[in-house]
Parts: sequence; structure tokens; C-alpha cells
Amino acid sequence: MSTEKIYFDNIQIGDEYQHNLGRTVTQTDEAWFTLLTTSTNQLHFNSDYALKTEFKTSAVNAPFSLALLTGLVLNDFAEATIHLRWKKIRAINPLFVGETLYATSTIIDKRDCDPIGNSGIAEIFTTGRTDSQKKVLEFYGHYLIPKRIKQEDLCIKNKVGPDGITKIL
Amino acid sequence: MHKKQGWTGRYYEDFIIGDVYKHPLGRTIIVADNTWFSNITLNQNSLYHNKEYALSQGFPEPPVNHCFILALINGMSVTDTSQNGMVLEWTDVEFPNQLFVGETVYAETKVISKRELNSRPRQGIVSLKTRGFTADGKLILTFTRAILINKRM
Repeated sequence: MSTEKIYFDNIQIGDEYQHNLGRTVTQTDEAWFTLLTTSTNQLHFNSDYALKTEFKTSAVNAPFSLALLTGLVLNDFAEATIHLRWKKIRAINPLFVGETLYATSTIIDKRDCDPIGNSGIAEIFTTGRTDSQKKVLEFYGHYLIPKRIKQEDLCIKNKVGPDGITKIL
Repeated sequence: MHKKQGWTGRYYEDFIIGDVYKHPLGRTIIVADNTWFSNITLNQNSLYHNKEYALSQGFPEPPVNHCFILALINGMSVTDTSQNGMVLEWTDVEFPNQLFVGETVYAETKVISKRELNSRPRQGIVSLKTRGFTADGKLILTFTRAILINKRM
């Protein structure tokens, strides 16, 4: 079942997932991400400044870790899954360039607000850890996850393949 | 002739509860932002990088990746807030309206509270509420953030 994406029908409250992909953060990621989001915190792009801080090196931009972790989580869910909001995001330990991030998630709540609709809402608690098990970030997110049966109906109706995108001629 | 210092960013002592900072920069979102950002953060939802798919889902344009919106608005506020510090946590991160590629965003932040730390006498915690909005006033993001900020000392 590890080759199947997760749909709303598959999830149960309490389910835990170890997301498969990992992502090593590079100095380029750090500097580009910081500067592209117009942040002026030198900790991320000035190694001379970073050397004088308690970390003695650049600590990775927290929104970047968050974005990576959200991507690692969503990679395992159905392609049409949409992120809605975050209730809480907590930075625990700094992440450093060269470290690799992995994500684990727990289903906290699921709500089928519209039983005849195409998707349901799930609240998922995710923890990001490095390869050496250092906790970096944890957050509660709400996601709109498609239902498998409805997705299949939609694919037939729209004449597209199982990924919801590829057109069937 | 006197040598003058440039903008150093704010320190803990500079934050006054109730102050509102209108952040200086505006940023127009381009296709490359959405596509590049989504793909390097492994977020492969076609909404962000396949215009045809986005249109088929009822959007007038590809919607912008939420992680990018948070990162951008957060980044825009750094010069006025956490330039000399780090973020500790965000709460109640809400996206009241959709942001689309091609729109221009601005941001402003209000200082909510501040407190000293016994364990870290050279730093303090400041709580801030930030709003991101488009050029025509559409609210696209609100969040509360706690930052650990250095003292001038």
C-alpha cells in the first residue's frame, strides 16, 4: 500500500505516518529563500555575522523548514490535497545547513462536513526531525483531502486519468 | 563630516505596545515564485504550477502556495521586527482570501505584548500580529508571532 496516495477515506484519527522523503538543506536554499522573501535577517546570508551569534553559523530560516515539511507531508497525500491553515507552528531547535529534514505526522481530527461533497477536512500534527533525530519544528495544519470514490467519479466525468490531470482522449 | 550608521533593525527596547509598523516593500508575485518555490519544497500540487489545471478547478489564475505567502509576509516584516532575533512560534495562521499570481502584496504588523526572560537576560520575547494584503486592500493572511529578540545593551 506504500505506493498509494492517501485519500480522506483512508485516514483514521490516531493514524501515524512516517513520510518517506528527506530533504538536505543547502547554503543556496538558505540564502535564496531568505532574500527572495525580502527578509533582512543576516543570520541567514552573512556568515561573518552568523559567526558572532550563539550558533556560530547560519541557522536555517524557519519558514523554509515549514515549507519543506509541508511539502514532505503533502507528497504522501492525494495530488488534489489543499492546505487550508495552520493553528500553531512551533520552532524547537535550529536547523543548520547540511542537515537533512524528515517528517512524521499524526491524524488529530477528521471532519466530513459535506457527506456528498468531494473532500473532507483533516487536522494533522507534523513533527520535523533531522537525520540525527533533533526536533526542529512541529505544527498543527488543516488540509482539504479528496475522497477516493468522489475523485474516481470526477475523473470519469472529466475524462482524466487517476491523477486527476492527465486527459484521456 | 560624521560617519552615520545605517538601519540596524529594532532591538527589544524599541518595541512599544500598540505601535503599528507599515512595512516598506511591496512585492508582485510572479509565476516563477509559485512554480520554483513549490517545486523546491517538494509541494507538487498542480494548482501551483499547471495553469490549465488551476483553471479547471475554478480559479481565475493559479493560486499562490500558502507556504510562500507566509514566508513572504513574514520576510517583509523582518526589517521592522525580527532582524535581530528569531521566531519562536506562530499561532492562528489564517488565509481569509485567495492570493493569485500577478497580484502585489503589502504587510503591516502591530506590537501586542512583550516580556523579559530570566533565563536569557540579553534577550526578550515580543508578540506581534501581522496582516498581509493586496494593493486593493484584499486581506490574504493574518497571524500572531512570538519572537526572541536581542537587547541593545
